[in-house]
Amino acid sequence: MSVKDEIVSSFGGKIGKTAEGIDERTFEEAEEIRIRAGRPSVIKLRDKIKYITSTGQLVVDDKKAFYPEIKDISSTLEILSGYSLYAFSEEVKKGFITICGGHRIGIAGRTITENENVVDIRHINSLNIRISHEIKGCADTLLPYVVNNRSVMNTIIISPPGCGKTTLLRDLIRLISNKALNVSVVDERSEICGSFRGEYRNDCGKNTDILDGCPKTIGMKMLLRSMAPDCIAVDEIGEDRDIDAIEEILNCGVAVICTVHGKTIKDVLNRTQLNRLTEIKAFDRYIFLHNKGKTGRIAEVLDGNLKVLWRDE
Amino acid sequence: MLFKLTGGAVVILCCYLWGFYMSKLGAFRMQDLEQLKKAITIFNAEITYSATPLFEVFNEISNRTNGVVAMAFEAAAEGLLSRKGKTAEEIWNKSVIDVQTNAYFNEEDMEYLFSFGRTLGFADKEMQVQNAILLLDYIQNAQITLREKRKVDERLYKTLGLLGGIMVCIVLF
Repeated sequence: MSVKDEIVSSFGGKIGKTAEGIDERTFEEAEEIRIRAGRPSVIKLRDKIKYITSTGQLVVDDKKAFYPEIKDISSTLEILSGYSLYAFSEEVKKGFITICGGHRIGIAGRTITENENVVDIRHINSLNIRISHEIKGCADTLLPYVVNNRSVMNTIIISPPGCGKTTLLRDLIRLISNKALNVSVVDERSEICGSFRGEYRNDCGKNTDILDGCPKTIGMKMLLRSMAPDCIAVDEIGEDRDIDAIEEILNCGVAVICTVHGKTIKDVLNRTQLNRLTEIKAFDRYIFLHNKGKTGRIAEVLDGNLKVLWRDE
Repeated sequence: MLFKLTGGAVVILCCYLWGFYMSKLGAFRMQDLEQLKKAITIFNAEITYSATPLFEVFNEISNRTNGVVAMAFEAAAEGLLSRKGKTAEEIWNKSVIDVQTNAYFNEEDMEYLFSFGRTLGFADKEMQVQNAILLLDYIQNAQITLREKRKVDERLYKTLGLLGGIMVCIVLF
């Protein structure tokens, strides 16, 4: 199933028809599609942003764009959840839904809160469709720096959103796993492996165990006890409890590969929670990505002492 | 004379059978309501405890119920799976209307069935369950009323059929 088929089959109504008009190659290049009620529909390609017309044509003039109504967004949500939005209530509380193919749909609307916790989002009026791409081979350069004599280095991948952290992590997992090392993945948002109803769309290697839809903190500890991994991979860490769990795993001698939002090493060092890990030199490798051009393109690889090991010239 | 007697017997028999059929309408509706009650109970359990996707819930219901109720849920499950751009309410309403000719539901039953479809697919778990409970309450009340009505109706229609047949014969003779 192509990316286009996955997106189009999940959508309905006018938005589905609009998506149907977009050609397959555009989907391969697309990073995000933004649908907002009463505002022009936007597609973000690798290095440009364009508006989408109601027939799926890409234009630069926002006046020609497709302006969806709130009811179009409601019916799209209904269909992409397989008419079962209630089954996604936990995801909705976190602000996203993952659809077939591991594509993440970010949602925004009126939040319902209880004791400062979001319990629901209603009147959803914005969708951000983040298109998941599997780029096999994008971590080839990185592998020798991460795996040394069958030992996996503690690695952190750093970049701003949309640069391909998850794409790179996925390929790295595949490569490590195919070296007959046991990799355990906590795929909280089903983005890494693209799980949908128990099937995995993305190739995550021959020796990978996946805990799908599980909160990172719980999942990492569960996998540590149950799967005897050589390394544990997680996406987008940042909260205190994530750091606590990583510390516990590192103390048990299991390697961790994770990703975090940030642009420079300063961003990472300035974050108090992460600082705890960098101070004890928990990470052996810091990987930075380019924020322009091809998704998942590595900019530089630093060692635990922040010495540059490799740089993309 | 023999011809007249045979004709009269046929008229009386037909009228009696009509009365018998009319007396059984309540029983047929009761069967449909009973199946619907079973379906909605399964629906509630599946939504509450396993957060199963709607088409799987409907498939499960169609496997565990009989008659028109099973047919309606099966058709709705197929509609949901095909994702042809319609809303869950539209798919549900179509499935219910398609089986209506073979069902013994009255107008009020149909209204409640359509109302059940209004929150399908889009509402959160609590709203789905509350809406199903509303339908269950209605079914239970309808069954109580129907039981009382059946006691009177069954005797009435059978007697009416027989006496109607005799009356037609007397008039024709």
